[in-house]
Amino acid sequence: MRKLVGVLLVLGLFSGLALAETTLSVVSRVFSPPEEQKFIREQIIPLFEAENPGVKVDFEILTDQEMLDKLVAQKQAGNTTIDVLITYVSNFKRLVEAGVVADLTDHMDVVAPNRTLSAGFLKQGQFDGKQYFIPFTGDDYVLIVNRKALDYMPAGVSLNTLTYEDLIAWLKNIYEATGMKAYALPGVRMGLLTYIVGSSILAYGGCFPDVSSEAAQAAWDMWYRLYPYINDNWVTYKMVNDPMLREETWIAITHVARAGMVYLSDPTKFTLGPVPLGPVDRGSVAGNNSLALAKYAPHKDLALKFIEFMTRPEIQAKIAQGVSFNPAVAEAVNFIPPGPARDIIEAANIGMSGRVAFIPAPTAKGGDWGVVKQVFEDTFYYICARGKGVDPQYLELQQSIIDQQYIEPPCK
Amino acid sequence: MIKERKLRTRLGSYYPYFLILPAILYYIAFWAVPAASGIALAFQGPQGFTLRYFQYVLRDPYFHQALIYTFVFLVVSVTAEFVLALAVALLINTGFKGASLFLFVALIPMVMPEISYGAIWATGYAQHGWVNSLLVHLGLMDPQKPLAWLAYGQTARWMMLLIIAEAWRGLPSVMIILLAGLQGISKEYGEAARIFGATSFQTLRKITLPLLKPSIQTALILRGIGAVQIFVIVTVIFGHRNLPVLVEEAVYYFRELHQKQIGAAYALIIMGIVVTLSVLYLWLSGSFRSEEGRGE
Amino acid sequence: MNRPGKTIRVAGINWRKVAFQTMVYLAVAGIACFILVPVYFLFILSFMPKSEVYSWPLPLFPSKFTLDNYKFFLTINPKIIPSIWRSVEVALTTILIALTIGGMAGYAFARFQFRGKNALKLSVLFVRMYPAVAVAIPMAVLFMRLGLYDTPFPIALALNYGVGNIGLTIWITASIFMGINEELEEQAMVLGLSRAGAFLRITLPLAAPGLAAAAIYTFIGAWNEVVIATLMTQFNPTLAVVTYHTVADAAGSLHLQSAGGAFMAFPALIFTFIIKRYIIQMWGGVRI
Repeated sequence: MRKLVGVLLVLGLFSGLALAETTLSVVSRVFSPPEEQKFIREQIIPLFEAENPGVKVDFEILTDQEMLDKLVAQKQAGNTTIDVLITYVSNFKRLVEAGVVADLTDHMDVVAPNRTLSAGFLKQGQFDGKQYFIPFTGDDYVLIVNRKALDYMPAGVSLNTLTYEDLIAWLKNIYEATGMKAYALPGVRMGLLTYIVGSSILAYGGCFPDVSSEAAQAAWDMWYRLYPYINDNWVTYKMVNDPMLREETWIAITHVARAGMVYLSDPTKFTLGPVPLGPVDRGSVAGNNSLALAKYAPHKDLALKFIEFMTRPEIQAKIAQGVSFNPAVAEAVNFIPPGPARDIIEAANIGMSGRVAFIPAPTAKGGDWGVVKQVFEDTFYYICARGKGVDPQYLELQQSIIDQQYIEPPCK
Repeated sequence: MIKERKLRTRLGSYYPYFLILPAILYYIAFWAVPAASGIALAFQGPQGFTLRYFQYVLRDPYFHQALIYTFVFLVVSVTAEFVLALAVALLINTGFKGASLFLFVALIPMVMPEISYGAIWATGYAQHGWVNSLLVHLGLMDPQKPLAWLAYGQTARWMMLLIIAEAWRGLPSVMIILLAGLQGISKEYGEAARIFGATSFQTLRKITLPLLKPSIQTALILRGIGAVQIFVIVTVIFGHRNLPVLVEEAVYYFRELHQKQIGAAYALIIMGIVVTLSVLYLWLSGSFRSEEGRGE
Repeated sequence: MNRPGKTIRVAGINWRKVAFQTMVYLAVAGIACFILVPVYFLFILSFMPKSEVYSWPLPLFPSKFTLDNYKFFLTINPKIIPSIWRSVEVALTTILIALTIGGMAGYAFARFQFRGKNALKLSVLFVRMYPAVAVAIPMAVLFMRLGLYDTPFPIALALNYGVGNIGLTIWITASIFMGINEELEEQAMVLGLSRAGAFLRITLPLAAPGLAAAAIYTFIGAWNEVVIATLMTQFNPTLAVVTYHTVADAAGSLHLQSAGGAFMAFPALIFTFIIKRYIIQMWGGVRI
């Protein structure tokens, strides 16, 4: 028995030392679902390793907070082991302020040669005129629908022409016929609610982040009338995948990758469409996921190569097919063959063809995007959940909280 | 007296301090030092020392809500867990056939990792989750109208669900301490009582429980400290701020609103609350007047 | 066992005893149900394919029992197998630290009176009263500066977990030692054993239930901890870190999340199964 324990301990000790070659450390908050992780490790990473013999890529998932904490701790201890980060736009400012990401302005020709990166996304990754983040996938929203709901669609309406008002009528039909509150809103704090509501405000002609203009008030009124058909459990929904898969709900607007996961699990059971039209156009709030180089990365050149690899159109296309993310590189769509994966991307692109607003990072000292999200959430609670309805004074107050996060508010 | 002479060893009356010294040094090195910077953060304003973050927290309406919810949760769940755990410990102690297996079963919830614990209850309480599925199979629920356990606005129901989930997990952690303590109580006490005509209940009340007091104290203090700091399960099932509790709010300020100083102030306030409650409990249960006889 | 005048015997059966035993079994059955129902679902969800995991109503038994979820889980991250050993190492080392340092101090609190005793005893729990989120980074930086970041043998994690578990061990062992009659030690010393010898040969075995309880607490705490472990490891993670970052974001992957959680629980269950016998070792020689 003791011998066995001894052998096991020794094995454990040595298993950690089996890293003879160079190891590039990539940490990501994207691709966290297990299937996505597996896809990246098995389908994408080996391609990079094949191009760079003797290199192993260590791909690990971290949450936003863990990533920031780890980089800060490593910086303070003078021992950085992370090379590349993949993260979402809401974290950019914090990472730059913490001084843990490198300025890539002079390396653009190395990381993104001969390809068209979305200008709006590139701008989101710039601070003080310096390019820190290289966009890699875009954020889009689509409508995911359980086919059972199609029977209740109002006459003359199709998924491609659906407006928000049509959506309310549709949900009403379902409720009256089945007693089911069929809409899934991801209502958990610091979740997607801000982007879904914000997109609708854009569709009504408003701005982002705007909660008080006349257009915004019209959009809030729409949500007030839609609220009775939102599933009661909405405050606990972090993602709509589970309620949609369980068929507790039949319709949802959600992020393209999540919708893709639901759709691809059974394309005969589900279908998708673009986000609904507002009176002015479709609206979409656009965020992006980007790659960045850790400021004190131990393997700088290799890291830059990896970033270039990930923005290559062929690789972008592969990733889009594997995990339903919308590529940020324009040329990539040419490499995606027709099929369910392409349907998803196309539905997302229709949504992006209307009024698009990029998430603006708070510029005021101490300004925080979390506060902006909290405003949207609190307002939704006030107007819809507590039933107070559209109250222009309240909305003015909430807008001023948002404006305080910026030196020059984006929506004035 | 023999006792006193034995206490005067080579090291004199400092002997106990030497036994405790490694623990204290360990703490100072590996906790007090890093904690100091965390604690200092709560007082660091842009212009130096300030109490404004504490003022912010104390005035925050979510803090008041969190205080109430945490307190209600603490009292109800620890009481329920204690009663259940005592029952289970006494049952196992009777030594019935299969008691060892029952002990293992009773320990299982404690062993589950946090993600499983969160996942099983979050999916359980979902409208189409296993709780409702089970009720449907038992004929107690209509499959067309499953109950929305987590419906918006049902705070009392949410609290009940939370307490059930935590009682499920907390029961073994209280139980093993009580059970370990029961093992030390000699059977002779119980037998002597029976010979003198005491019922089982009287034996329990007058003999077993008083002898079990150190273990009861330990179990309640440890479980109480854990209950006041409940957090992960609340965010997994309900998300932030739907059922505010103290540590969940502290983490919310740290991680979601990125206001480290407020988070740090919150953490200190929480610690203050826990220390106060612990001292109160120990004082009320007579821990502090024990200078003679068996040390408590 | 003779209770004068209270035995009721009808047709040769002691009805009081039967009633008592029935009540015991009913109570046991009821509590066991409460505990086992969620566990049952956790485990069967891990053996169901994705389509079934989300079906409504959820069946009480998987229609096709599958190990695919476990296979998938074990192949998502190549570091998972070494991480198991690492977790074992951390847990056992933490137990060693906590039980020795904590046990010594617990004994002192149980046997002696001294100045500042109550304050000291409460103060060892301070570390459990301060939310860990506020200390995570300074803690990690401390260990990194000591050169203990991401070591193959996870000594930094064991040292870190020791902090929380020493206090717990002190309280549990103190309450157990208090229940052990001092005269037993004194008699042993009168018979020629040293104080330490009396402790090792007499007190310690009698304190086994308390030590076992503290060991279980410590093992589970170290086995499941994720926050500090994430900060402190990169190429040498523990199983908790790997599992958390593999299946925690399980929107739409409940089958995998269940498999991951169940997989992580197995070794801890085995440890508990082995140790439980030390918690109930005083039934006058009756081995159940």
